[in-house]
Amino acid sequence: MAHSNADTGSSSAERTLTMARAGREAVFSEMRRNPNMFLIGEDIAKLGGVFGTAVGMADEFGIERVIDTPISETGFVGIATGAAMAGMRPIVEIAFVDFIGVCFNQIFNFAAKTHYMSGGQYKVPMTFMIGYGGGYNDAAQHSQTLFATLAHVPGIRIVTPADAYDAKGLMHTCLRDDNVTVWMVHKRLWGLGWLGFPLPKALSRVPEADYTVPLGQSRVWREGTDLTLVGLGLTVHNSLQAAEQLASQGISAEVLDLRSVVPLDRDGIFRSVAKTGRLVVADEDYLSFGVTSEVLAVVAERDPSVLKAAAVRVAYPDVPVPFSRPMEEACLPSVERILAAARSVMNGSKR
Amino acid sequence: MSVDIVVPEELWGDSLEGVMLTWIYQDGATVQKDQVIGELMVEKAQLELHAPATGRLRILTAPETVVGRSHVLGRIEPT
Amino acid sequence: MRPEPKQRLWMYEAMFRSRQLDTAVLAAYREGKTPVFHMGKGPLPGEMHQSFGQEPCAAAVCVHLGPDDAVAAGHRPHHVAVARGVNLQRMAAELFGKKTGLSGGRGGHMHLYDAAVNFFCSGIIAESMGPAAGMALARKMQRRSGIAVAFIGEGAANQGAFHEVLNMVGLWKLPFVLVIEDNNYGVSVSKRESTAVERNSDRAPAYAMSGEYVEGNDPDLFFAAAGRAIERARAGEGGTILELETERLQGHFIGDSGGYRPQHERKAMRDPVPSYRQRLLDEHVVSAADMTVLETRVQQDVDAAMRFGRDSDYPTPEQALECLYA
Repeated sequence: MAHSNADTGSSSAERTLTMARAGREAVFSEMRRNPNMFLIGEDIAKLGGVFGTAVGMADEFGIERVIDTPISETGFVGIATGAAMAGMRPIVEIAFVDFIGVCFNQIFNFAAKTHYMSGGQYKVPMTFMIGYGGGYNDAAQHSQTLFATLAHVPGIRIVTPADAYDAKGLMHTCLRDDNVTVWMVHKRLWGLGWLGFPLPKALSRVPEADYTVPLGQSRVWREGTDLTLVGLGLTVHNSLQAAEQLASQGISAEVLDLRSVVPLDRDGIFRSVAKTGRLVVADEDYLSFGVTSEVLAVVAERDPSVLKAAAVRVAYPDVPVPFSRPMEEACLPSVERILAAARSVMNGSKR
Repeated sequence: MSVDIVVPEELWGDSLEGVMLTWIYQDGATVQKDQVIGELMVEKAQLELHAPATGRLRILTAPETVVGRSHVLGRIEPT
Repeated sequence: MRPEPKQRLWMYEAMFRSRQLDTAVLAAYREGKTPVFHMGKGPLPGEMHQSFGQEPCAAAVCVHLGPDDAVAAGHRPHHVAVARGVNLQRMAAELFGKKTGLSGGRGGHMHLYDAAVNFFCSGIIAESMGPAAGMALARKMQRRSGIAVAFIGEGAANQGAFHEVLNMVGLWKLPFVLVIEDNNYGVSVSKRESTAVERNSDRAPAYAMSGEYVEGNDPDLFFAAAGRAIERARAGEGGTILELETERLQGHFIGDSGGYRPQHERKAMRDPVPSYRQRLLDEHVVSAADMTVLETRVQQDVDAAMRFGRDSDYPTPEQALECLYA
């Protein structure tokens, strides 16, 4: 590949970056700052990561710090955890979130619990970089989202940016955190040409200097008064498109990007829903026991009387991701499904 | 004198066509020689475009445009 | 490589200390659990996997270790923790679930951590191997002299983590020693019934590691092999699978009578602690009087640790919600 490293040099001009470039920029910067930081994973040194997460890094930092592993996720996740306990700061690349199945024991029984079970004696400053999401016919074992699978386990912080600015800022935040953090990016947003052209709003202005985006702070992409569309990752973009169409019909939708799954910005969710009185939550993870359920629980627990109509969830139905295009497309939390949900919420009353 | 931005011959391989993906800087921005200024796709490979000179970027090809081997993607004008 | 008298006494002391701790823990564990055995009752609740019979493995390995070395144990960790020099009082307090415990009562007996001596455990079989190898990798990357040692049982050699981790240990020549304590039983299933090869050390060539099997459950026999493995790791020559034949004198945990073991096996059991004691006296490594001094001192340490654990306060309920994140 004809890539140089992510350093685009200094220039006074403002830059519009893909999320890939912005995320990598943060990794380059933190790797330069911290000699104890290293990358470990499959196909990262020579290939630069299946999704280009590590392009150019082995050239700059060498294969001692950009470590291509055998196909042994249990092994290298465990090794990264031990290295973190011993003073290193590993970044673990797992191309597809689906693959956490083969190393989940190390993640949820060991890495996530070590700080707690050791009474704070051992820190585990480790960041996972993980791609997720479907929409390109990769079927049931390479298209999942699995926020809830990870989020259900105490001790793991999970973020998912929706544009390049947040991709960089959240990456800096994760890499400076002394805990297990999971930086998850929807493959469609990443900016890979072979998964479709970059979504216009995923490209954003990115300062050259380092900056962090705080954990657990949602972001209002669009203010509105009639209903709240909550999304994260790709569903932010789908919600924004839905909001534009709703606006043309005189409906004012607020679009809230969660940005962090753990910690969840419960105050931000409730504030918006209390203002608009109506709620649609869109998520590409499975419907049941997931992020959408948790968002609804926030309102139900704090004050369900703020709702003028029953809330609606737009998520992946509780089936594995089908391969065939018409089946997969029908299951995704599309703009159309969000629009339909928004209309039903606008027409609905309390049930 | 302005300098054309084209895809370097060695990046094409056997391919005849590519697709412009993104420009990092806006039309009219000042860029430095060798800076990465954009990305394009040639088959499944994602390639970086480097500024051939220092100067003002003139964008002649919008993202998502299919381009051929000798296509002038943009120009660097003297500031 | 034969142990010096001083090293032999060190090993005996580590074995005896573990034995006396386990003996005191066994007594405390039984409190409040009669007439009906209930695992959650009494001052010392929960599962309890003790080390009776396996003390030589930990003593003969840890005698070679220095302060920068890391040690990982599994679900049966007492003898390893004691030999590694984990703080005995805080360890006892952890077993009692007290605020003064190593982890403030959040870990318990299968999850002992003492960062001051680079010690940790995992209660999931073979799961500490990856993190231990990671500690070896960190030492290599930081150009430190330390190595890492993971203790597992022979049953753990059939876990996927075993193969994944050892392949990387061999591939990257990590300063790592895997100690397999072969007590011949994974809970109730014997090695012959679970494992395709007679010796797990024979698997070493598959990972470009050295492998050694030592019979006899004897610290003097284990000592040399452990020393070789640790020296190899320290010299950057790669990892070793060191499989040590040992003996689980009791059931898998307290409450398991071990009825699945054939009579001839039970009859053949030999306790390595008193026999090693006798050998040290017979070979004049230590006088009877000095042995009494040593044992009295150790017993006082154990008594003090148990008293400290028993007398310490419990954590408050609110503390359950603390310490999740750094």
